[in-house]
Amino acid sequence: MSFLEFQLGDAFTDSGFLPEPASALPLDSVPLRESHKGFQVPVPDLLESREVETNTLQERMKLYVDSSMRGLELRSQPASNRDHDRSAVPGATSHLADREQSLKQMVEVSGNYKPESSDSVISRKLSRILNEYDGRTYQKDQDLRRSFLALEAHRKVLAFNESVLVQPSVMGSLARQSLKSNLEHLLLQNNLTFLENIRPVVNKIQRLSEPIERTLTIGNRVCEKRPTPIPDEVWCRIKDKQEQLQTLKMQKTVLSAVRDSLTLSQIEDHAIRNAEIDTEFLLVVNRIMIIKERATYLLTLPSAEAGKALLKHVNSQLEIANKRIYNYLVDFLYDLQSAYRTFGERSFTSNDKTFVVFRKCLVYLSSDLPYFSEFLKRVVKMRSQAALDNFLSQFDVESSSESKPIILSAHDPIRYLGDVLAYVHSLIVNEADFVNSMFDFQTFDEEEDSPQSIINKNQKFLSELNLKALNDIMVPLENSIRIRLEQIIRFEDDILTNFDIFDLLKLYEMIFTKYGIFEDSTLIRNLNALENVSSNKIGSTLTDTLSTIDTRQEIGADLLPPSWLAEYLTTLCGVFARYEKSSYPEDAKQIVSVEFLNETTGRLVNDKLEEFLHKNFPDMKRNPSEKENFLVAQINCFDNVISKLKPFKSTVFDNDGNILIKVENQMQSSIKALTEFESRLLFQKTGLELYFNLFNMIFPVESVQDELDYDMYLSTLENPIMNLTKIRESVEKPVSDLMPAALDEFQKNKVFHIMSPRIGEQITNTCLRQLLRFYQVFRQVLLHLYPDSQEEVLTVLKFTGDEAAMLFGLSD
Amino acid sequence: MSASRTGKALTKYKIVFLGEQGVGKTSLITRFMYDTFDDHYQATIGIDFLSKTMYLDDKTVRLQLWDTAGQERFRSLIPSYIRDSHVAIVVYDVTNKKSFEYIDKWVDDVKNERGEENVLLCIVGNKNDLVEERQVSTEEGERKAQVLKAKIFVETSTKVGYNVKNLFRKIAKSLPEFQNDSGKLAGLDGEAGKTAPGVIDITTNTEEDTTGGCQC
Repeated sequence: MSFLEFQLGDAFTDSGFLPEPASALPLDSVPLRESHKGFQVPVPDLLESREVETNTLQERMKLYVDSSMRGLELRSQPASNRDHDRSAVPGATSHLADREQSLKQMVEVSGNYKPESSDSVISRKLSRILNEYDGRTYQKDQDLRRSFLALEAHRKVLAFNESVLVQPSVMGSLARQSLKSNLEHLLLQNNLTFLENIRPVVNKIQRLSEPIERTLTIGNRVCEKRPTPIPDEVWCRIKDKQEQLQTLKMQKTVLSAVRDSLTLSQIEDHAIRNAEIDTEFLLVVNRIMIIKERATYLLTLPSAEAGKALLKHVNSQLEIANKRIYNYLVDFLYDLQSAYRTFGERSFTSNDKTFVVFRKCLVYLSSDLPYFSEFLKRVVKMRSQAALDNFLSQFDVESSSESKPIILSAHDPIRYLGDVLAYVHSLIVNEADFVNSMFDFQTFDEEEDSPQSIINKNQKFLSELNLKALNDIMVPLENSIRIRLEQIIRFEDDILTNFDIFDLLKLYEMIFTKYGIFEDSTLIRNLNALENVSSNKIGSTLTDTLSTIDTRQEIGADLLPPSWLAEYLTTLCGVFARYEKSSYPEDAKQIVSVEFLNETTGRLVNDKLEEFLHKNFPDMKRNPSEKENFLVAQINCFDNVISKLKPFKSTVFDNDGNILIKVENQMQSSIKALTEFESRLLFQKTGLELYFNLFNMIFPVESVQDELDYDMYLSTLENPIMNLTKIRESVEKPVSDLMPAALDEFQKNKVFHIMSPRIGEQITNTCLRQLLRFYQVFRQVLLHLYPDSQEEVLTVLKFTGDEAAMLFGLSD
Repeated sequence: MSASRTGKALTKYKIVFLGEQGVGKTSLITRFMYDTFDDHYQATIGIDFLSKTMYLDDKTVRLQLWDTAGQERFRSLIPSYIRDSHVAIVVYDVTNKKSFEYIDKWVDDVKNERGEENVLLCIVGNKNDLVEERQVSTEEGERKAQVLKAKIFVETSTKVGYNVKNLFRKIAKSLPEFQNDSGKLAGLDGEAGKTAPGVIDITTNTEEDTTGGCQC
């Protein structure tokens, strides 16, 4: 850095020689005005002599001196001639010129300034210094080079202008002096800083010097006394002290570790009370939780005082933290609510930082149930209020909503109920979406930041939190929903509509539970209650219809079932058909239960029909004709009931088919009774009744197998009615008259009123077959008993068995 | 009020799927949501619900997909869901002429409930991979869509995953939320787009969906 104070040149090569200061540069030769324009230092003869080999410093010095001397000689020449040379000579000549010439003269010569100025010399020299090396000047050049580099590196700090600095003028000189001054100042400052830095070290050394000196003195003394052995006693004491020291150190380490593990640092304590709620804050809370867990272990110590005190302290800190978390969550909620009111629905992405903190806060707060419940209540209140408003707005006819309002249509109650339930469905899925995004902790993956104790302890609670919140949100809506459904269901009397309502409610019960509504929630209970209302209405409407039937209605001459029976059965079958189509057959069994069947079908057959028939045929026990009509009417009614209900035998009546079987049995009894009645009548008309009874008393006619059995009737000969003459009188004519017309008689008169042709044919066949069977047996027995009067027998019973069968229309 | 505390604005759009039993409504939704196809037919009971969220810059849109049952016994429920829907997708089976003929009835239901202007009507011919069994040509479908003034008509195959994404792209582009945006939607596809993580281009690209196989 000293290059500015001294002349630049080869003189540097000699360490013993101090070059002349730079201020001796020929300032007079440099015009001030041009100092800022590419100033060129004149290089006079040196340039000419470049070709001369100057390998050594001495040679170069010599060259320089010659050149200078030439310059001095030139000074005696006129100013105009020597200007050029003067300006070309640096060093002493310039210095002398400075002293001799006034500023005025300098100005005068400035006009004659030539480019061969001292700047050029300097730059060339500098260039040579920087670029050319030889063994001797190497060290110097290196220093200079380093100095330049240092100067360049600190250009900003030193704030110098190199263009001014290199000027040979006063300005340049001043600038160089200033730079020098600055450099010295900086150097001093650096030294001062260094001294300041080492002052503490010096102080320490000074402080320590005295004890060290003492130690040295003691050491010397000890060394001097070395021949005296240290007693064992002292060694033991030293050892004891060392052990004591070690123990104390260990105790200190342990206590420090305990302190660190059981207390918060000052920063953490500050964070709990004042820091913003964020992940860092939650980490501190997590630490408190861990401390609390550890504190519980202390309670197992013989003295639990420490544990109790620590727990008390930790609990107070937790209380503060939880309160702050609660306030944060409430603020979050209010912000959300405010945005919701202003801008509508909001959503968060799962990686939203604030949202992540919110969810973590919830996990932490879940360990403080009162605060947590309070927060949950607020969430529920906010959401349920919005949901209720939305629900009620659907019924607002003047609503600006795009969709049609839900209006009760008189002819379509199912649509109204469907609209209400469908909207509740969409509300539930919306709320489920919301609570799942906020409170679904089943996939909570921030466990590493959360205390395991909370996660483990509250796992069940947290995992069901979304469902709980959803159910709680729906609670305030339940009453409004129930009212709107109930006002329709309570006043709906149509049985099939009630069945549709039942199915609809069952479907939505299933849907709502699928989306997380608890089965024991009031909403589902309300739906169940309404299902019961509609199902009960189906049964009650039918039983009411049955009760109001007027059984005094007179039966027609055709003995057909009454019109009310047909109507009632149509309604009943409609219910059964709807039951078969029900989407929930298991649930529909609640409606079509055994009790329902007893009430609607059993009562119909056992009470109403019986009542109706007895009222229409009061004298049937006394009057055979009335009894016959009674039986026919009864068979017709039973047949009607069975034919209508039989299609449902495997569905409706599969669980308890007794009712239908009972009706079928009752009908079979009636058929049997009518058959017996008609058969007896037929025997009476043919005059064979007495003989039929007589024969059956001895041996059942139906059991006769072959001719050997005829002998069993030998005893009848003792009976006077078995006289052939008597037989002719009582049988011949009726048989001859009736038998050819018996089939017609039955078909046109007796069973004509029986509605079912199958039953009519069954009765006809049974009666005629019975008559035919007896006729054949009676004829053969008579031929067997009166072998001598066979011709007479054949005249009385002139039709053979085959002929009789043909007349009755029987194949066999 | 911190902006991040209030989340992003969320608009919900209700999309109702209509059509005869077995035309592939549920398959269409399953393909869109999970990019899967189940060979085993299982009839939908009542009404099913699924939702999908899409993002575009600061806009968030949630598509609520309401899958209706095609069975007759659940027909009475469907108008209640059309009542407040924004998009109606009427699906028919290209191998079942009857299901195509019933489109008119479904569209009538939609128009009765929502009018002609308040709903985005889409007609979708599904199962177009069954080339041999085809009973309804694409031209017939297009004509029907024009007659019924449906804004979108596409043929899809949920089995091979043909045109399903395109259908939902077209729907998304027609939503008021995105009509003025030529940006990119995220979350529309199960694969969450290829241009950037969680982002897909809504510009119609018919080639992309045809990877499942050539459709005649």
